[in-house]
Amino acid sequence: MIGGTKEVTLACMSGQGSVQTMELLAKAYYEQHGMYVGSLVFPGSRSKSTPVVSYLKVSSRPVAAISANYEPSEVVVFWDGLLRVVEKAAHPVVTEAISRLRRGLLLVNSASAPADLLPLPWNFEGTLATVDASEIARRHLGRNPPPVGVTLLGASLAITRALELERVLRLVRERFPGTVGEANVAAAQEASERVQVLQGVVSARGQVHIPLAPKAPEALPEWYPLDKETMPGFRQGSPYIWRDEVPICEDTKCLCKHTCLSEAMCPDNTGFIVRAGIEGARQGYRIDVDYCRGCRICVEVCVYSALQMVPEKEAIARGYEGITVEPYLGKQPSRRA
Amino acid sequence: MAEAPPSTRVKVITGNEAAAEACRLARVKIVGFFPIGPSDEVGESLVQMMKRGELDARVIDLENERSVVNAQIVATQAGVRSCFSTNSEGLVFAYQPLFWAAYARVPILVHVAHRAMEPPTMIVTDDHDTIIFRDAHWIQYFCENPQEVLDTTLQAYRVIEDHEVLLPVFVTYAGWEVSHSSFPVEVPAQEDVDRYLPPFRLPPELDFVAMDFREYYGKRRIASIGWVHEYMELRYKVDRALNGTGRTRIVEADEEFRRVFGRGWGGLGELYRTDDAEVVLVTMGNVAALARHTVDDLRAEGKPVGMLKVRTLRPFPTEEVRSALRRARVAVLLDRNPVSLLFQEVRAALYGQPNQPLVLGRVVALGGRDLTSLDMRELAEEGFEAARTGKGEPEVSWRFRVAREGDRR
Repeated sequence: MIGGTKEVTLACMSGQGSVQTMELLAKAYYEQHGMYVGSLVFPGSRSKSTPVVSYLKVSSRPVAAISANYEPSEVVVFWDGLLRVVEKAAHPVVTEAISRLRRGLLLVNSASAPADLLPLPWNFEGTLATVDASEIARRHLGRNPPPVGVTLLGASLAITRALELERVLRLVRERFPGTVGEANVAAAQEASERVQVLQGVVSARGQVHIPLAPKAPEALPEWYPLDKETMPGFRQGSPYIWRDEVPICEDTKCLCKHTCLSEAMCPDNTGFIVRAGIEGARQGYRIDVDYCRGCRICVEVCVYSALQMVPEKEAIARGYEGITVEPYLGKQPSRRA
Repeated sequence: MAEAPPSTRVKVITGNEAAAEACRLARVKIVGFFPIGPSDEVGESLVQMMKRGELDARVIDLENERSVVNAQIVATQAGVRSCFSTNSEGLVFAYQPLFWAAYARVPILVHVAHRAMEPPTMIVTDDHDTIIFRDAHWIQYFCENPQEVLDTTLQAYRVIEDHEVLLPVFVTYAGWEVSHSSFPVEVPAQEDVDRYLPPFRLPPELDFVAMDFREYYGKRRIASIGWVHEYMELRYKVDRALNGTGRTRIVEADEEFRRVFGRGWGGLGELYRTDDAEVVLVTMGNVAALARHTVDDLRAEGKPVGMLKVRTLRPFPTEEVRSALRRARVAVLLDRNPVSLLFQEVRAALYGQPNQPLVLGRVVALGGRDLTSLDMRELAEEGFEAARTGKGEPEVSWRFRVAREGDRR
């Protein structure tokens, strides 16, 4: 709290729904407490699967929402991979947004128990809670990757009681009329019961220092290469890749020779090659999944329906090469083979 | 704050939703649409309103922004009120019809949620995308919050459809910081808006529906020869419409808005505690909201600082700038674009005036870089330092600094 301002930060990957969640929260805080609200979104990039941070401020005077939250009392992390991003300081904005939480509530969307996430990579005192919101939301909403915002909202309000859950759920129904709203409400209610809470967490790992403070003009590099290989978010094995499913190709169905429409349509230029039918190429296919964001556009445009999305873990079990589950952190960019 | 229950007409909505609400209240008939983030939520909200039966309109979605603006021009020439929302790359795609709209005197409205120009492919905010159209004789409003977006849209329709103005207008606001930020917004009642904003009527000479086409084409054949001699007169009329009548109509529209709805935004620019200010922060868009807080804080400490918000970049509020800076010793210009436009404009407005203040141009907060009240305070302190030493060096500089851990805001 700064000067009577309550600050809440949501950190997610794009597509997980922190912006919509922030809008719901702002509405609910205004309705229930009649205070000035203001929210701010830090967008990732144009592509899918980049970090998005949303900041909410609730105050007794009009809010000038132009800066980040510096003293949040509550941080909701939509993907536990983002905690590893904090640990490695791999993304300045995400790292600062999460690690500015000194005391208060940290809610993480994770399948593990709160104690398994300890120690946290920054100084933190307070309550740590986890809930497997992805699983809950996927089951209720039937979408992949699942938007987990409302689900996490249910879990968060079960702990803080800052807002009446019923009021928020009514706003959810208004915002998403019909089955989508009902599914979200059910997910939120389930999450509010299943959230695991660990109180009195003290983590003293020191301060994560991020060079977000800019360099002096004379210390800036001579030029910035606007090259896909080196741009943040496009880097090979980028830490920002967030996906559950990857496309795989059934070679027997793949009948296009030389030209693959899916490859041409890929918005992230993964440059995958369907090799079936091409003389001299080895059997099988290889998708450069380091770049793949799991958007499934390739599956939709595939002429012979040879491509399909499978869970990444299953793809690894089936022995497809080049697929990793762990988010990539810290490796230097290298040219693709 | 809990003692005052929120009015039922207050909704917590984002800047984009506020723009859509305003279009609904203005009873637009044609919704131009081409998706581009962070603007596309305006069109999406309008379509949802149409589905709910709150708005009677048609959506035109075409292959690119250029076509959409062309369609908007034609719809407007047919006497129909329209809206469109786009930004950076989309605006540049529509470069040619944008000029066409201004010089054909077609009053179209385009909402712009600012977004950086490419490369790199960024969706962060930067005023650059509309200020490159400063020389296109478009009216340009810069809004600081969703409430102002809503109010300004209604005012803008009233201004541009005035038969003595008839110019296109950009209603702009920061991408993400306003477009996706939820704020409490007072949504006026439809009957009040109908009272404020009369139905759209074109002058008979421009009304393509009521027009006798045989006569029109006959005229145009002659006119295409005649305009060779009258080109300069045509441009003079456009310039007068913007910088002469447009100026007064913008102020009048704001005053009338204040009379009907009880709140105004200061016409061409807002002067905030500038009467006895030694240092004046000159801002545009949502930087003004933060500057206003900082001015209050510094005034409480007894420091004479004020704020001028430039609300319309075109027509530029020359008189307002002069009167705000008449007593000031230093003006700190907070530019949110990489070309220091405010610096150029304000310095040009001050040229030849008696008792000119020192002018410090500061490029801040590009691409959503954090700008905290601590930063704002330091910018004001820089102004006081310049006032003390009498030296305004450097004249223009880029401010990269952000507040750090442990800094008090």
